[in-house]
Amino acid sequence: MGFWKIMNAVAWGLCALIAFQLIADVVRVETARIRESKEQGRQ
Amino acid sequence: MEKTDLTHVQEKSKASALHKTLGPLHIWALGVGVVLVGQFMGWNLGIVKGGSLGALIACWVMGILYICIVMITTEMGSVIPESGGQYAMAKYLLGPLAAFNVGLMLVFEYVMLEAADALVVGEVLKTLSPDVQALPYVLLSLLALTWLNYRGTHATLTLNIVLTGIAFITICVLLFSTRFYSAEASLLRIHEMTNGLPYGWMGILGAFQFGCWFYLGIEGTVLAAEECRSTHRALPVGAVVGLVTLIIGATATWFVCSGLLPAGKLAGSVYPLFDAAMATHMPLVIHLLFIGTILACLASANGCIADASRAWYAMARDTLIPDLFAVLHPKYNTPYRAILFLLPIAIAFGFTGMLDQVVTFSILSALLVYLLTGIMMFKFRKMYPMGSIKRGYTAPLHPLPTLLLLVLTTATLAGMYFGYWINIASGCAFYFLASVWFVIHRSRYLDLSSYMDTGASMLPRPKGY
Repeated sequence: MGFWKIMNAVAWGLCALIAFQLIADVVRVETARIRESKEQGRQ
Repeated sequence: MEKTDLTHVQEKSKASALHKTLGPLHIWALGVGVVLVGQFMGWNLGIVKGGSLGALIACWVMGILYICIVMITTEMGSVIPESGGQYAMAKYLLGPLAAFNVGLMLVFEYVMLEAADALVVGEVLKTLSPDVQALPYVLLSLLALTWLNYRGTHATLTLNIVLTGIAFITICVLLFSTRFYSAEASLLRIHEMTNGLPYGWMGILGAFQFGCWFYLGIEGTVLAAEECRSTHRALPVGAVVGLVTLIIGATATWFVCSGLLPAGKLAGSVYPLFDAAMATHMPLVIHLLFIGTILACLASANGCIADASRAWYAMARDTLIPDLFAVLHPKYNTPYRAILFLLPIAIAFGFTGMLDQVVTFSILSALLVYLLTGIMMFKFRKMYPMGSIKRGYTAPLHPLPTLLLLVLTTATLAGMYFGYWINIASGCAFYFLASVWFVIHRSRYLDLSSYMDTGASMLPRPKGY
């Protein structure tokens, strides 16, 4: 396996990692927001 | 009741405030960072239309156009310190429909440039080896820069200072490596390599749109007005120094490329500065220009993400588009929904494969914004005459810069008509249809009282109103 083929795989891996981190953070923020608005609604 | 309403408005504006962390250097980096990529590629297509001399004249004439636009937007931007740049100006000076169009044009201008930049990174890397796949690097560039923008403006623009600075230094290294200062040892052969003005004045007109490449996006500095520590100082200093940097860089780029490469080869080059570096046969210079080209593309894409998301956020905050995009991240204080929403659009535009069409639509959007900016300046000076409001910067010799801006923008559109009339017609049809959608559907949801809230609290009543 050549150097550039390894680098291509590393680039794909980094793409997946960043995408996962972005999605995870958005899910966390939006869940917190929904929970907060529900609590405010109850009060 | 009135007190409660006022408190509510204050709380709302405090909650939606972006962090004020940017200084003149960041504004310089935002402006030059978006544009510097134009020195590394694209401008040389002007040689096809107007010859070597036509491209140089277009470069300088477009420099005049951008001096005018920077002066005008900086004057208005220093008075209207609100996120969105020309969009925010249109909001207060022309009304909701014009603001909607200007906002949309700004978003398309920057999103399409962002897509083009990322694609070029992939193409440049492909020159290293046939085993290199462009796709993962294109996606990685867009994702990494989106991630940076997501986590904060300050870090993003600090990175742009570094990227832009290195890319600019590589142009200077190339210039000095040619020993242009020595008549005997100089590698530059301007007389032998250039082809003058083969198509006369019409050629110059056709080259105007490619002359724009040297500066397109510098006016985006006003988009970060709301995030400046001192808008009155940071905006004029950052924008004017940025423009001077670009005019020097553009002239040096033309000089080096035209002296090292024959006009025919230069006109067809994908990476003119990199090709010029190869013509020096100096390995260090070649490697530096390779790095410079990639860094310039990344800096441009980085600035484009920041600019486009600010315009989209500002439109959502004013309910011109659904207000679900007008939310800031609770930790990073960035318009994270706008940033993420524009990412797949940039990727989709990039992968249409029609790069020249995509970039032409970007330039058309920018030119339409310039026309409206000229009209806004006339209205601004009428609504707020000199002495009626504190200006951070005053554009000298008014109305000369505004008239020059309108004449040169119209001339550039006329030159564009010769090769890209279908793009002009399609672009105008797109904005017309978007306006119809806004008038018939979206305007029903427009909350005019909150739309004018910020302006009403910060700006005095205009003359005659």
